[in-house]
Amino acid sequence: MHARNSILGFLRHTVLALITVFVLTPFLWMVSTSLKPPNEILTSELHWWPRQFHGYQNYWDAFTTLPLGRYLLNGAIVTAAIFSLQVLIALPAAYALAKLKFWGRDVAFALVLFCILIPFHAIAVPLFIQLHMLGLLNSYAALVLPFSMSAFGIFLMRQFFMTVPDDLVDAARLDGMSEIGIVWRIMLPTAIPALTAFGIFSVVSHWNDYFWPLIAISDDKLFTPPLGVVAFRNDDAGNNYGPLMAAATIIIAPLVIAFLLAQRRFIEGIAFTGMK
Amino acid sequence: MAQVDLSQVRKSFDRTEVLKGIDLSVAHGEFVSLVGASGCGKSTLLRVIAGLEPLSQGDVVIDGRNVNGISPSERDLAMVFQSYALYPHLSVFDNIAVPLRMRRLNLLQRAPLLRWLMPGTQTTEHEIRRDVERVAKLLAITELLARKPGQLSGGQRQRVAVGRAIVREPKAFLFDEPLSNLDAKLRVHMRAEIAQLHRELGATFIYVTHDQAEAMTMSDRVAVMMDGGLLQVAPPAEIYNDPQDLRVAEFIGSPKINVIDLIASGDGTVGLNGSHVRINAKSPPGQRVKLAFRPEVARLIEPVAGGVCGRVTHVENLGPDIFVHISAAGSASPIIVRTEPRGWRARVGDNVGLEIPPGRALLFAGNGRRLQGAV
Amino acid sequence: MSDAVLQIAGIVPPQEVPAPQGLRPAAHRSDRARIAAAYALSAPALLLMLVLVIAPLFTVVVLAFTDYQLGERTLRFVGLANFRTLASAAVFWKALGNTAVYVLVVVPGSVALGLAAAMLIEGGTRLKAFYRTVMFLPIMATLIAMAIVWEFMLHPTFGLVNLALEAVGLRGRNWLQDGDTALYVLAVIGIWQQFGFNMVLFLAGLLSIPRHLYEAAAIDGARSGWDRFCLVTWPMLGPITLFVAVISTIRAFQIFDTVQALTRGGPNKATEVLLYSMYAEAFEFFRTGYAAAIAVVFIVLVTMLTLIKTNLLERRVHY
Repeated sequence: MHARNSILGFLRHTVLALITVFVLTPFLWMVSTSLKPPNEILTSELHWWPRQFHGYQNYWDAFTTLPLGRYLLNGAIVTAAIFSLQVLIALPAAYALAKLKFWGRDVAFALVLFCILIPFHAIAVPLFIQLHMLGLLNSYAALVLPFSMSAFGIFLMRQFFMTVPDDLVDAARLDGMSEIGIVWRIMLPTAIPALTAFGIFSVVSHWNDYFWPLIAISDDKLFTPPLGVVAFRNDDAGNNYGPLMAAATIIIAPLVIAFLLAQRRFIEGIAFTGMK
Repeated sequence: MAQVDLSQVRKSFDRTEVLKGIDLSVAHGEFVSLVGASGCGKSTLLRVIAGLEPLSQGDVVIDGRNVNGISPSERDLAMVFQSYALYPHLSVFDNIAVPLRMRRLNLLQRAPLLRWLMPGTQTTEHEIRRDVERVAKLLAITELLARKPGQLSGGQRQRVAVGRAIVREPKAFLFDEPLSNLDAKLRVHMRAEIAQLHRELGATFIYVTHDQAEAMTMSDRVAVMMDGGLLQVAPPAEIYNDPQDLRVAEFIGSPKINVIDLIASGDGTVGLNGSHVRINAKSPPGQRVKLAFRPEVARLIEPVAGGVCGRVTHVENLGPDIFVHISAAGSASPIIVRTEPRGWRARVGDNVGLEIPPGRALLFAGNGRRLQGAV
Repeated sequence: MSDAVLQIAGIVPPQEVPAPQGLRPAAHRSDRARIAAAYALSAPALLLMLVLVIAPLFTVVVLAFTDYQLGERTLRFVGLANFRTLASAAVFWKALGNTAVYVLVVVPGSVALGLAAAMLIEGGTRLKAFYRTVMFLPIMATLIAMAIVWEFMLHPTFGLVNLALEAVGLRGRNWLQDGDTALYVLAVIGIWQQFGFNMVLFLAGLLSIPRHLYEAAAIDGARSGWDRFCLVTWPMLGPITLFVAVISTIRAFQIFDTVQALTRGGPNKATEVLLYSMYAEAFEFFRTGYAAAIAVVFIVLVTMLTLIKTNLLERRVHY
């Protein structure tokens, strides 16, 4: 029986290894290419490790041909702004929906659920027109405002707040706290785990968003990381793969590194929000 | 039915030894309970017998066959789990039929649609149906056969779990705290049913529970476990009246047995009620001994100098019995005495004395081992 | 004298005790203040919902019935003209068909791969965290960046794929430029990117299967892994598998990034998909009304799927 277990164990590792190879190959190829000189890239010979280390040159080119650093900064600004606004708007609303009784509450919650159903792509065109009429296209506002209200975030937080005991809220009221005080001083601290999960979901999806920045932004100073790397590829004479792969590596690095440092949180966050 | 023999069974998880050399023989057709507090290792022992946990050392022999290393599916045992472990997606009928289908049908005969095309499937399915219905009738669950476990009550699910176990006619039945999830009244009812089942089947039952009442009321023999070892294995009466270890005496019986600390006097006796009880010479003078007696053994009397006495701190009126709690010297927790509802009623604050017939008192050494004593 | 005594004496008629009601009117100041606060707290969110979601939704549906072109000052209502054009446009049906093919490849692929990965990872004890982390990477890595990497990997002359194939004696193809392969290649990228998410959901599902079921199965005679899979794993994972499939379908439907960046719908509309059509019509040809019609079709399809998903979520606790 032990022999059988060993064979099964071996098979398990083999298949998992094959899948791992499938998953990791693009990453490895990307990094490998980013370290090679052009003559080693544009060749029909297959090899992984650069014979002549050209990494510094490639990465330098990546940062200087186009303002990659700027793009990364834009990504950070935009995702931070979006998440902050989302929390600012969603938390009070979620609290009201979960803990306060008022006429129209059920309608409001139904509205939230309805909004979650609507795919963003479908309403992108009218949003574009709206911003166009307001003259806000091609600005940070254009990148941030459409996402400032997250119906999904409201839903998530409301579900979470429902599990917070009413006693906690009543005690705060007896202590003289205002409703808005309760939101920020009582609900927010208890909601940190759910907020973390939502934060991860929000940051990941908006850092990686390509569709909306593509249509809302034309000024390359405002490019977000996805737009940046595509611009890089489009700009190139087509054969500058070394720096292009370097640029791609740089673009995915922040999230990947954050993920590797806090894997459990990330996986739980994405899966938790995915389940809902 | 079969005999189950355990010899020097040891089991360790990482570096913690959970089973410390268990020797136990369960005779063919016997009902043995493994009883003990949580964490004593009784469930682990059961799982080792079932083959769900590999043992670290020792032997498990079922019906003369050493089953070490043999997988659970090959040991021909049946197990009733605490959570019943019924397949939620299958009807009661299919749940009970699973072991039969696993044994009597081959892979192709079990394949989803293909099976009905395979030769022999029809006949075997007929037999299976016959057997399942027979078991359902025995357990009075025939009208539940089409339902799913989610639609059943706790007691009904328990019967289905038992049905799944007995339909295979295995060598022995293993029960892992099957009544723990039921409410008190149902538990009492099911105890009688399981005992009845045992009589009808004449099968070997190994039953794990933390409830000493269950063990006492159903078993032929009770095996008291603590900290991975067997303290005593004996019929219920013997366990109750003749415990060999203080821990056994304290675990069995409700309310708990009363224990008084005494010091042995120089001539090998212990003072009790003014008379002297001769004890084993193994206890040198000055040695601490423990005197234990059941609540129903002692009698309340007027306080007597030199005898055991104390103050009443609490009185519990249960109806047929009255339990009087007495705070006395030599005992850290209150002594509990059972009295009749008629006659003199003790009241809180009274000073009372205790009369303990020496023949019915139990003596234990400081380390818990039983000492023999006589008046 | 107390009222009660007077009542008994028959002098004062009994007071009417108001019957308890479900919702007491807000008689107290604190109640009113609380309700006011409730409105104040939820107002921004509600307002933004109207502005950012409801109004655009309404707008896009209305636009679908007009001939609006971005930049124009006026528009005309044209009834179902856009939809009729859509129904007769070969490109639209090609897009719908391509999207369907893409979904039909990506969903089974990513669900099966996710399930297989989850079962293999849980089936053993070694390196679980490592495999789980690795397979989740593609979800974290910006799709468009990795798509560009894939594009280079698929380069007919210098790309890894063709170099590797040639190394074992097979002929490589021009994957993204070949109408026969382009869509399937995009599907492979899609599976690569999505399966990790499914894997995580399956892992959660596998862990939630009570261990005792497997033990009962073992005692009942389920000897092989296949027996255990059929008796316990697959039935218990059933609801989750359906759920994962629907989520995957919704995500697959929304394919856009790889098409826009790698093939632009080509070659020859071989990879033209629904959202790309909408994008092209709206932002390259500025036929806004027509694009809105496509958007409406898209909404209907995705909403149906999302409703199925919500339904499944409710019924997931049916055991």
